[in-house]
Amino acid sequence: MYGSLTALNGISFYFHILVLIVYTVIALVKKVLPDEKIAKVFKLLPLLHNFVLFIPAFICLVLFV
Amino acid sequence: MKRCYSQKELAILVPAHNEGLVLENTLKSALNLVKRVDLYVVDDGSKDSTSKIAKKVTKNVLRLKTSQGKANALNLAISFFKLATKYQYIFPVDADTEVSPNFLKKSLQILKQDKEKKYVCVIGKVIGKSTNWLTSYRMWEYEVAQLIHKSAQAKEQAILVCPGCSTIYRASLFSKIQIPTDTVVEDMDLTFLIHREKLGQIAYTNNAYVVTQDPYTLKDYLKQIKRWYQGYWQCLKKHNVPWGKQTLDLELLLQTMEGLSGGLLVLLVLFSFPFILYKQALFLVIPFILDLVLFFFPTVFLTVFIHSDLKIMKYFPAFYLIRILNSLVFLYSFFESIFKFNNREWSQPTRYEIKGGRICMAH
Repeated sequence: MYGSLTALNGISFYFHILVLIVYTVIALVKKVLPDEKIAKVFKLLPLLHNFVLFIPAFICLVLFV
Repeated sequence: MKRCYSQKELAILVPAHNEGLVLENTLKSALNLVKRVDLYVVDDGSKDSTSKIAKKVTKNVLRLKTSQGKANALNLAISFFKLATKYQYIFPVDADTEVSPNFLKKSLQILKQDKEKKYVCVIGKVIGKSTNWLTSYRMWEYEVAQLIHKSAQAKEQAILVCPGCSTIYRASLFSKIQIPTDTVVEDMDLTFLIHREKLGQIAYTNNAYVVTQDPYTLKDYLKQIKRWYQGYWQCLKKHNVPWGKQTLDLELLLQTMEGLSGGLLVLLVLFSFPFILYKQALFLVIPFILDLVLFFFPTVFLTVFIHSDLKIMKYFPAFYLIRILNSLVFLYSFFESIFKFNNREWSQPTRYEIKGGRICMAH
């Protein structure tokens, strides 16, 4: 319950690994590129993230139904 | 006339209900972090030596005549000792928890560096002690749930629960809200409330940790996960998930659907096991091998490596049984939640202490 529910961890496990990889890459890019160049992209990040999060959630929904 | 306090830094608040066996260790570990005057205990109607032990260590003991439940006890103590105005930070610590010496340094660093005060709390890592197959399983579960899931949820700003034993809050939070008392999982309920009321962001760090005591018997283990899952469904209903239009809703949708699909899958396999084995053995073998190679073995090995404890590997086969039990209990609690909501029963797991490598039970 400290993060996952049943420790079956199939889709959410890999999804969360993907999230960690993406955010690590972003942190590296932020170090290299100046803020103003990438600010617009990062403004879109929460929207993009929610869209991507919807995909595994939807797959699980389909599996359940 | 309103009294003005010069704000002190941090108060540790320990709620305790019949915790005579483990409280002393917890208070001792707390005294490594704060002075006696900043250590508070609320005795939630204990019938054992809890108050006596607490009073030996600190003068700040609030004794409630009858048990009010953990959330109520914490709210009463915060209000009674005026902690929300006297202090900058409050650290509620469960009576069965030992706090590592670096916990405050690492976690307070995050709050102090946050000049805009965007973070309302910081969560540290929870780890267990490997004493038998159940506690070893829980150690593995903690590592997966925190290193992978919680770290990612922190990036998404969709942390599901600020554990009651490893979270430091800005004290000002408790001037705005009280810890919710109408579900059996007050820490998860409070976390959802923080998200819903947009009270601030939640930070997570792997660098600070607390050591907690996990259920030692299967009976206690099942009781605990049943309560957690019951509380989970209560929180979903209470906070109108998944219609809250927050990242939290999507994260919960993912977790819920995965949990339910997993439970149904386990049921399906259990019921059709002889048939599948006879007709399509590969149907069982391939997912089993994939799970073992891609997920289970690497994560168990990681846990062994992190804790330098080979004993965990010994219980590896038993972990499958617990994973199946977890899935079934989750599915059961889902159906139970549909038919009844106000189940607030809670019973304390059997406490134990480890002396010279041996388990000494409380009862």
